[in-house]
Amino acid sequence: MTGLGAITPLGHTVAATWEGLKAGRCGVSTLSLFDASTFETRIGGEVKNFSPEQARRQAPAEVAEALDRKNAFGWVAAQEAFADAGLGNGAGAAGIESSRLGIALGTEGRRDSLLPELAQRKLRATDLVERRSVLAQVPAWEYLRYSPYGLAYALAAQFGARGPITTISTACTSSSQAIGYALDKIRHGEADIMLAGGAECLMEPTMVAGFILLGALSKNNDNPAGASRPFDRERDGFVLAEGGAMLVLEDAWHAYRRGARIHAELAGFGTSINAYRITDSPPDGQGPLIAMKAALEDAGLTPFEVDYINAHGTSTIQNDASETMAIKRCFGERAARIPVSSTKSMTGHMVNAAGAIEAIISTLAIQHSYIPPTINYEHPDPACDLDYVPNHGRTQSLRTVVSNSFGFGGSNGSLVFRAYEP
Amino acid sequence: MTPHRVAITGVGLVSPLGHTPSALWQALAEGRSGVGTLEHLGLEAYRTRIGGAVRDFQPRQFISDPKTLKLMTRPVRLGVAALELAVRDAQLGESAPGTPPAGLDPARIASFVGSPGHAGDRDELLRALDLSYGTEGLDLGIFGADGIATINPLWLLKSLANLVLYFVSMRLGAQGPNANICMSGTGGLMAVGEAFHCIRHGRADVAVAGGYESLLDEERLESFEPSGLLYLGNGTAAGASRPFDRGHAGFVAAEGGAFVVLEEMERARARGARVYGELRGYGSAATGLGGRPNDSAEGFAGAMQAALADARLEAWDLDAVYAQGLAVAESDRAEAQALKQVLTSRSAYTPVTAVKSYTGNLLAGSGPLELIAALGALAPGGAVPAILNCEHPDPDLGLDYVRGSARAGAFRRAMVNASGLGGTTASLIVEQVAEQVRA
Repeated sequence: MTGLGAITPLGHTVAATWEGLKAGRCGVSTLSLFDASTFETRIGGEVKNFSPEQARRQAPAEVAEALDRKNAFGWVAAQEAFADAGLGNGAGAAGIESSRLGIALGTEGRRDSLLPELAQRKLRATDLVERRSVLAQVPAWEYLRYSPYGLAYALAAQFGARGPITTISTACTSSSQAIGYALDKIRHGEADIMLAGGAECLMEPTMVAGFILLGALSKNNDNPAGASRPFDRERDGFVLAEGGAMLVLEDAWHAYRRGARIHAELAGFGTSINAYRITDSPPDGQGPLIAMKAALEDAGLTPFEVDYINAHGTSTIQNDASETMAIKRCFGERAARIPVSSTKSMTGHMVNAAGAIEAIISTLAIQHSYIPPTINYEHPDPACDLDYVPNHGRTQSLRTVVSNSFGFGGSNGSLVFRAYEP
Repeated sequence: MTPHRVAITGVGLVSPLGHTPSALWQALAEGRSGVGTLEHLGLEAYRTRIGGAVRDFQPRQFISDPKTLKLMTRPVRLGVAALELAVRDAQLGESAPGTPPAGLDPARIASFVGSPGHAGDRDELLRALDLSYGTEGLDLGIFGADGIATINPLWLLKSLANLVLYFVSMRLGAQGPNANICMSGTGGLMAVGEAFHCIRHGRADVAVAGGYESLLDEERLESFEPSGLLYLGNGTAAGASRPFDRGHAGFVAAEGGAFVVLEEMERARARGARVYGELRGYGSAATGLGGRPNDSAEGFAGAMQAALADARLEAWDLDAVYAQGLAVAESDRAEAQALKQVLTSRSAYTPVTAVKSYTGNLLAGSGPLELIAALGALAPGGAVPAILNCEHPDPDLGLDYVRGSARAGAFRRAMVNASGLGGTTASLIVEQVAEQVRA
């Protein structure tokens, strides 16, 4: 990993986000992007002081038109990641061949965002003829903003990527799988460099409504900063968050030859699917267990070598218990001695971008020898009895870190990171 | 580790050309189009009456539980039906939902799906929004207090991008490697390619892979209409889809699903499975900063070359090409140029066909469907179908477009191309096996 970029509820850069995590700060607040005052849940992790116009002004015209709020997060994070890797121009940088540069993203399209727009124009959405006359005025390629692949297309254009490009949508596991996909492409020689990551923005009335209807969100509206409380007995659901997170992955020899700084090594990836229920976590943790085991095997490591687990830890009753069970089954008696923390307690749940931001946090934890805490941890839950690094981070040297992602639909992804040794 | 060989042991489709591989192969051999008029779908506001619809589709044959059926939009039903047919066809053995057939390790069953992405039941949302109007238009206060409660609680799940992937996992109790790829018209072929690599590299024994889409509803047509890529004429239905013809008038909106079951070759042989063909190579590439459509000769050529390199084959090893053939002038020209460049001196002798001239564009469903079409050519007695409506080849470039009637011959290997609006192309190479299934 030679480049990192992030824009999160904790800040507009990787450094700002890391400072927030070290301070144990929470990025969750009362929703301000739309009037949610009568919604059952009216809190979320918003990226503050940001407008997609900022990104649109800087991007080339044909890229700018694809940048809605979600894609603008991805674009901003990708800019930072490439700059961090010393490849500000992407394939335009010296010695970088466009056909050897690829992109793998975890994100989704959101056609429904058009509906409130139509409604604001006082159009009855059910009035077909009028609706169509409004849609006819939408610029021809604006649908790139709403399609799942619009961001991949825009970033490929921006950075001149002509290698393998993909977009994976498996809800909360999307960007973890995208990073795994990128690892695969580099290992099998299809690319030298892959930009991998995710972007998310669910702060729309209809999407928040959808999650409310599923009963998935915390209703702790009176205490926004305390709402995301993974592994705590009083947890009552996850907190939606938005943002973008991107990583530049590079063949190690390629990175070495060009003198790039290497943050850490992406050592392994494992993926699985629960084949259980659409939204529920399996109580036996079987699916997550398969993913963790596969990732360790892929990295050529054993459970003995893991120093820290960045948990999926969504703050739902089921997920946190299921994940705890999976960790116990994977690591046996060692499980109690491995620090496990959920940084979603501070960032909220960035859904499609969650795997990518947590990959970055895992990398930074290795680099800075620091384990970020699980904040808001007050009441131990008998179903969750591991060392969750409660409320205070720890300085500790780390060689191997595992990061988990589990999602609606049942897909799971686990990534293994190692301190880089030439 | 020696790479494993990968066999296709099951195919399933619900398409404008029927629901069985033999129906598909027969229609292609006879030059019979699946494009027709759409009166039955009630698309009053759509500017054309022509599309590639799936007919005689009874979802209850594939999804018995009424509650589960209610959770599925039409494209999802098409996808689930196609995967069900593929799994039945592979005869992997019976099993209860969420559990694998005997002898299969759930962690080594992979599932890869090419999906249109998040696609909800808009009507349901519209009703709730309609109830939430105050004097100043949409009032989110009313929506939050009263509107939300009128929506089906499972509305969001119904729109889940990876819903078909979930149903794949349930059908076979698959718990292994998986992904849901949302790359427009390329997604389905990429899903098959990724599943192929997964078995080749020893990460799975069996995989279910494919794609699905339905463009035949108001919302999808609305979103594609401004692109200028859709066929919006009202000529004869069978003459609407014209890939590589001077009269290319845009792609015909269509729908359907197609899935394959892939299996490690030795395992397939050991259980006496019927083998439709062997996957040899897969590659994908981006088209670069694109025109519109986002197809470029470099993109097509990049994917084809990557697939050939992956298969350790040369262009002269290919006996037929199942082209993307979008029936959009810029895209067809880019692909033809790429074929000329990749096939070099063989370009005049390698038959090129375009299945979309029969079906229209199923987007994520097209790649897997065209792969199944190609299996028909590899079989003894097989043939490469003619491109329908290819009266005045454009661009000509001296390519061997199959025209008039199907081309009989011995075809050992075929390449299938796919491209999509997201600016990605993919190519897959499939090869005949000794015990090839008859067409």
